[in-house]
Amino acid sequence: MLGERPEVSIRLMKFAIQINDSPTRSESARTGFQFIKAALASGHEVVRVFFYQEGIYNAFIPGDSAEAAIPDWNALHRDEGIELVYCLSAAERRGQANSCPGFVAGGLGLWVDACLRAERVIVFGG
Amino acid sequence: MIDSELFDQMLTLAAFDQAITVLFVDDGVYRLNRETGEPVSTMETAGLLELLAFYDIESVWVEEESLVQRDMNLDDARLSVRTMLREDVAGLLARHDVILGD
Amino acid sequence: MGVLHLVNSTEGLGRCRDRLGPDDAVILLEAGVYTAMAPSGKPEGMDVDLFVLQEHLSQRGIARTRVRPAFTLIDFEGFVGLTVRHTRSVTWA
Repeated sequence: MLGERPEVSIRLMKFAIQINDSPTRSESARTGFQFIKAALASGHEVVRVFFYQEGIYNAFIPGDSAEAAIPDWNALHRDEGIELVYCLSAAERRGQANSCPGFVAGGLGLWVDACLRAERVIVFGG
Repeated sequence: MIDSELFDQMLTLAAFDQAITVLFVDDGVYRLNRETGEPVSTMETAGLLELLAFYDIESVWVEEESLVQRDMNLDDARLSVRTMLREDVAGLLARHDVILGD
Repeated sequence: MGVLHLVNSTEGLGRCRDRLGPDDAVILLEAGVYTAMAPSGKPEGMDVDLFVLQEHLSQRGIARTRVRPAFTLIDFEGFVGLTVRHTRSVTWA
């Protein structure tokens, strides 16, 4: 009879993250940013970060790495290869165009796809 | 705007053949009331509920206590919305992989 | 196991209170951390594990002595650990 599987101290997970608040009007975006950094530091994978509702403003307000008040999403994309997708229709609804480096526009299908591929779905703000 | 974006998510999930349950709680139940229900974006709530039905989202619930606390009853609500007790909400949440709120 | 309830507003704790399952847990974030202060003992009707994010308490200048003993202080790494231990999460804004 085979022995029991050893208890794994850290279960590595795939996360899908949704950010629903503007970085200047709420702390939720920064909470999400810090959560992602902690998750990556623990060895977890972030499948995609999807910016929805007021969260799309993260794609149009440049990050401030010095102050750290506004998350430097582009650094997260550049250094960790995290995919940053903002909802195109939510951005258009708010009259936003020309996003910051590191972000790509997409539809809600990309969010659902991330949920289906991830083992954990976490929503920040909204 | 937020409301219609929440519904957009539901409809997209439905388009990906995901089983969806909609639960109205707290002030969310006002959206079931024709008299006081705030319009959801440019669409009336009734239109949204019909839209849910169109996408085969048939599991639509409202929490009994939320209705009672607001002097509402299901006669105020429309379509095939069913009631559930607050004590059963935890069980409902635990049966779903992804939980989205407003 | 169970649902992790993310509470990031002062109203959020009241909203999730009667909607908790036996294996659930609650974490207070952002403005939600204010609800960790108050009389001692466990908040009524919340017989689950309760956590509060240390960073967000500190940002608001709330000393840990003012936090109800029922709440465990955790950092972001602990927060990530909670999301691993609980298969689902719900955000009560």
